[in-house]
Amino acid sequence: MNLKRKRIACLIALPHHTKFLMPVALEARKRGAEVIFFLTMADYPFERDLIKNGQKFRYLTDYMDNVTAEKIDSTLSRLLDIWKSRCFKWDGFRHWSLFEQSRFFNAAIEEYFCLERFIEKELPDLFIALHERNRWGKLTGHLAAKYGIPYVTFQEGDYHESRLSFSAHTEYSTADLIWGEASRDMLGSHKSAIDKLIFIGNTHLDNAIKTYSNPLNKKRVTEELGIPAGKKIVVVLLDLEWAAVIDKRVWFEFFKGTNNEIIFIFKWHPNALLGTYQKAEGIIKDLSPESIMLYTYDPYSLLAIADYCVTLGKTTLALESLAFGRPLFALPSRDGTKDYYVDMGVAQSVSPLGNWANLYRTIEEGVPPHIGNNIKEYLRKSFYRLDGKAIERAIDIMKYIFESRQPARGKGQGTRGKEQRAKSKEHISGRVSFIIPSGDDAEVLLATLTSLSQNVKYPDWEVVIVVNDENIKGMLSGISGDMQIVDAEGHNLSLLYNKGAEAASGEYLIFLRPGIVYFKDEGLLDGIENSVAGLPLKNPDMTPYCLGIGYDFNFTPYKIQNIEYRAQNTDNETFMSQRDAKGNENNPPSPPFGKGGMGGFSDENYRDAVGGGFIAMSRKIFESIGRFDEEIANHLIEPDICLKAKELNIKVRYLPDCLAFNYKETFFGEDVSDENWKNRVKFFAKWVGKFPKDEDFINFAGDLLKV
Amino acid sequence: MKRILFPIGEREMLATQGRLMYLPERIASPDVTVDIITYSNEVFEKTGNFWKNNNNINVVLSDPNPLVIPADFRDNLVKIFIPQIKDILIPDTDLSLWKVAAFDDFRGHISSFTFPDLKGDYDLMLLPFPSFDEPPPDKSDAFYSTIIFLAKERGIPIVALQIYPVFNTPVLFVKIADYFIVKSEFERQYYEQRGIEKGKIFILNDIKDCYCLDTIEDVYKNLLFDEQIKKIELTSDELVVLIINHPRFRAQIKEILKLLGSLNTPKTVFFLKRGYHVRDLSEDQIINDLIREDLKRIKGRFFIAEDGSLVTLLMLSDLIISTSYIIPLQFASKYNKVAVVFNPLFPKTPSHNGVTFINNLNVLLEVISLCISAKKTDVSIGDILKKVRV
Repeated sequence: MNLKRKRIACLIALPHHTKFLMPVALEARKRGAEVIFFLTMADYPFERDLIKNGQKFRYLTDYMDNVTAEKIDSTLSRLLDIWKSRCFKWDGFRHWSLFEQSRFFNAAIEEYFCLERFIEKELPDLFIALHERNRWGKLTGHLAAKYGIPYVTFQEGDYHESRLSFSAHTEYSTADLIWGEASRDMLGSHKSAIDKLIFIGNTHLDNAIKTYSNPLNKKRVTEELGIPAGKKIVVVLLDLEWAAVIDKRVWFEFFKGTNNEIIFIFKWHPNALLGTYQKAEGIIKDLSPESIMLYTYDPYSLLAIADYCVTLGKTTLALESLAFGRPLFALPSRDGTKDYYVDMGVAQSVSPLGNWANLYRTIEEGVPPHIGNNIKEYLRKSFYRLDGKAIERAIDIMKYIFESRQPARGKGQGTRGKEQRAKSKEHISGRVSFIIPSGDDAEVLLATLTSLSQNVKYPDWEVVIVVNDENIKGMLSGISGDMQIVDAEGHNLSLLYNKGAEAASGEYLIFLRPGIVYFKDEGLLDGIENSVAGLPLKNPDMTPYCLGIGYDFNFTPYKIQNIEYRAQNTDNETFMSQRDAKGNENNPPSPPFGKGGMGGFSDENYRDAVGGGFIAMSRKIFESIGRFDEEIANHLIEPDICLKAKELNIKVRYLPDCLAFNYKETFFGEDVSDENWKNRVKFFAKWVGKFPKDEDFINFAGDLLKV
Repeated sequence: MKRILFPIGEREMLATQGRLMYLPERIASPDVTVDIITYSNEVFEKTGNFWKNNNNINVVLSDPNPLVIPADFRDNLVKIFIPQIKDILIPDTDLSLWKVAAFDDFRGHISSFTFPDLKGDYDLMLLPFPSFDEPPPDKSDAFYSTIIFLAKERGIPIVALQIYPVFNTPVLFVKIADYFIVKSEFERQYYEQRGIEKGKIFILNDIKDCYCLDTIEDVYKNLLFDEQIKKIELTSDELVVLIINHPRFRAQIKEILKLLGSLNTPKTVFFLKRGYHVRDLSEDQIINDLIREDLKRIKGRFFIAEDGSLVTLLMLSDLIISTSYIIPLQFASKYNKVAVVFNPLFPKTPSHNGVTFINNLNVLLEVISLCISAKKTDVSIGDILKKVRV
């Protein structure tokens, strides 16, 4: 599938957004997509880079009509009425100037309703934006979810320091395409949805290294800056705190011990105040007239001509200088607490100020081998692959999102190209079929089988074992009872379940992964007559393992382990009340999920999804829902089939009076890898706008909010 | 004793060419103290020098304390910010406000300055409204926000002063002010349309006070602040009349003065010389011998002024009476002064360039009475504050 006729709306903001997004958007256009660049009316001219590149664009305010304008006025006024009673309650509010607050409120409300009109008029198939850490990213994400439009986000710079905003980095994103492992670790530690994080590398740097390292380009920059021949070029990169230093004594110490073999180029931090920069420039030029001071120069041109780089504090450019292959030297941040790059072993220290011994040694002898090895590993972790294919990977993911959404538009559940519905099969009324993939751990499988023989009390039941490991087969030959063996390959849990279901003869189908110990099933068959059902799964020490499946702040399923958990009706309403771009409501609420109540069941009988390794339904329901989706990751197939059930107004029930144990977790996570991203992306792409969500960020963030 | 707080920043001082600092003049009294508070050394020095001899007006320097805010401290503030507003949804949507505000707009605009707490209690605060179109410098922005926050915390009513065009008032400021002082009916209607109660909006029409809030400089209005004239200490309840001398129409001038003397209203009369000599007699001699006694009988103060002070006196007066048509009369009418040519010897003449021709003493009396009535409808900042003070 190519991107032909797909309408991709690309949110453009500051230049560092444009530099990451533009290459992706333009490549998408090459592949046939209609790319619509849109932007907000800010004081900073976001359109500048687009105009320079000859790109057309739309302001969100282009979509403001009289009705929208009235809506903006009225909403703004009502919001400010609420805000005025709140904004003087906490001392911290006074540090956010009222003028800036005014600006924010004006802009946010205007952007929200204009973006909504944009969606209604332009009918985009996909949104792309750099990230969700600002209001534009959130507004776009929120409306994308509301209108069921996939939302692809990326990464803003090097995430080298903890930020609370990382906890909201993946909230609305269908897929968040990040640089690599280091970013995932950082985002994961802030509770971003790991399942949505896909490695692609750096969409700007890949090309930048190629483009800027061109000898002609380097020659041009060297001449432009008037750098004398024969000098070693040392580019100094400053973090924001270093860029505020205007104490002459500090810079005096900095230059101590340097000789005229090297020339310093200072690339000032772009967010430093101009006045501060000018003062610093005066001081530095006074101490070192030959040094070159640059406030706004293209930093990649500098990395390309640099022989060495020195980072003062933490900067994204420091990481990028390593990608350019420049030996890195470092001074710690101004607070002096940590020398980040030196501690990681990718830079050599030039601390304290004036200690240039490592630099001169490297000029003489080259980079020490152990540093070189550390850099390789660091770059791998940071950039996944510096192979020039980051944009291609981004495009592949976008294409796959479109592919994944096709079944949801009519093809139905299941593997593309295969039969979409479970085949209707002759079955024996009243019989219960237990479908268990074998896995590769005989002990675990035996634990499950033994629990069935001890605890199943149904008059007519069978076990269907789907053997995906040859070694298990021999062990099974020694076991007696009503048991079917079905051969299969691989660790795809959906496929194994589907094969088992095809072979099963029961009216009721219970899917268990090996390692689940069956214990108590009171009311199970009644529960699955017209529903998909699950039961409490506990660990051997009786702590909860999975008390149903909930959806967190990131629209992402998780195993409920809180015994106080109560299903939220609002989640079901979220699912049901998705609107299309014309404002028509899809999936109108129906009992028991609508406002009409729970149809006689208490909250604790319902969940957004059930599973954890045990999920049951009647054959009739299995056939109407269709098979398990074989393109979805093992740990997501249960929430996936529950979403499908809900879409068909089939209840998803949790049976608290039943019980099973998780002796050992199997299958989940075995099919997840950095390269195998499709089985996660498909899940999130397929159900865009239909996921339940827990909006309680305070509870979700937990310790992250501790001051 | 009432205390009024009046924050002034550099931007507002510059925009009004410094006139904003004159505003407390009409408010301060032995019963009312006005504290001008500023973060700016320049404003502090200028206003401090200007008001140094006025015991009812104090100037306070609120010294800014610059902050270096580390990233983790910003994050800590965000961590408190979110729970503070977690329940607020953007109306007509299910989008939580904190999501769009916390991580960038709030975090990225945490002020780099703090200011000391207010000393003592205040009964009211005058707040010059900023303009959305002219973003204040960081320090000024932080200063006003802090002072407003402190005022709100203490329950001090905020009286907004409209300096810039109403269209440019930042939306949130409209919501946080308790009272509004504007300079025109149009501005009043503008705020009323935005949901402000009519009773909370006051139109200021005193020429001098209005000019303190005006961003357009007027060389003639500048004369209102003439240091010499200030010594005369004109009050808002007295009628100020400028009579232009004439060498020939002495009888008519005496008629005017007699008419003024018949009125019990408080008044000040400026009698403007024309600078002439007639044979051996100077104008002063003629005035002394023929007019002075009439001036003494006007039941009010009078000043005989040199002809060079015409425009200054004209700007201070409510009513200008001349026995012949002189060009400054039409200039006076442009500043909403009542300009009259009174001379029974002239035939009936229609008004011209805002100047009224009167040849009948009764009609002149009517015009003066109207002028007195109109004067009573003048609203000064002091009048407004008497109404809003709590």
